[in-house]
Amino acid sequence: MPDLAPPPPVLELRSLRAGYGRIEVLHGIDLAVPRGTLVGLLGPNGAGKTTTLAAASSQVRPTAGTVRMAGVDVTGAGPAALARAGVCTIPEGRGVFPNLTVDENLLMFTHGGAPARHVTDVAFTHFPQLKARRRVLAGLLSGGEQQMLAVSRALATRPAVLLLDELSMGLGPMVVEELYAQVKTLTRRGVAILLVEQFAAFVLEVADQVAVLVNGEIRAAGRPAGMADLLQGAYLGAR
Amino acid sequence: MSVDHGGPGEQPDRLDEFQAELARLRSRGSTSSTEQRLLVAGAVLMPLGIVLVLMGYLGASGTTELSSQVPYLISGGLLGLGCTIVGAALFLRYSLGRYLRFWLLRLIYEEHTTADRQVDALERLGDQLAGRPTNSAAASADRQKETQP
Repeated sequence: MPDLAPPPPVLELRSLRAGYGRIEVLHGIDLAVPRGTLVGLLGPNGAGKTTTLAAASSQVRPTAGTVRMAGVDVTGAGPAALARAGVCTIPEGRGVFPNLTVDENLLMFTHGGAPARHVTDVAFTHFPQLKARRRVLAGLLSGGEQQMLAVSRALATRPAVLLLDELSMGLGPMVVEELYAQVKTLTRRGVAILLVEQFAAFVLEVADQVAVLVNGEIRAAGRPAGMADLLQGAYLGAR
Repeated sequence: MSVDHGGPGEQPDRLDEFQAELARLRSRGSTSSTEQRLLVAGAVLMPLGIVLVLMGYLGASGTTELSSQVPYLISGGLLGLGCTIVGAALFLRYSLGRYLRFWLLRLIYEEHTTADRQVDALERLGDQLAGRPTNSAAASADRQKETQP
């Protein structure tokens, strides 16, 4: 008899609690990112968004709850092992090696087995601006170019799960739009994307689903269309 | 402009690869629980304690001076005894814990099944008293389907 059960989400956090030492930041959150979906995690400063990504990528060990990927319990697995398996994290602050050139950074992205030629082709096709500056140190690129370089890693390395932290930080709206458009194309390939963002406007346009995290708890979750009104209250503390 | 280096058809294979890689991670024990580790620690401490006691005996029996024997008594005898007791406690706690957990789940399942049978019997009784035709078999099957995992 065919298995009619829906496939498990590619990333699922269940009753997740995590923190730093004695300070608990996440107080039992539930979040699921199905295949080929972009889920935006919004919330004000200090809500625990970065901690959520850190817990999902195993950089912070949860104190309770589970992290499941494609139905497999990976709570407590090593972050390097998860990265090798296909979990790509692009942290806040670009996630590039500032003392290496663009070409050298792209070479670093071949760790998963992608050929160097393929990585550079993908990066320069999606972001032609990078080709002109391939011999420039990444630390000397503009914020937008550094972020393009960071996103190239996601585009070129075939991740199964993509975790993005504040892609728009310090960037102009046009650059952010271009970056999100490129990220969105990954959902066509079935990549599950969890995107953390403080600035809701960008995310509401590209996300398939949105969750609002306030003080370590998910206050609301659903389609972007219904979220705009809730967000102001969530950010400004209205109950 | 975007270049798609893989269409939707590529990703099911990528997901299968991902799942296989994660399953390999799990089987290598990278997600072993604290319980499992403590159970193993208990199993190791018990014989280790006995070995320490034996070493203490061998050391103490090699001298007739009480002042030289006391360190062996403490480091071999007392420490070894302590390790054995702690190891036994850990082993007992965590091996029993698994069994008792299963037993509790079994009890809960049996309770649910018993409650279903009781409700079913009461419904049949009620139907009979009211002179209604009993429909208990279908209702019981529905309830059983609801309680199954």
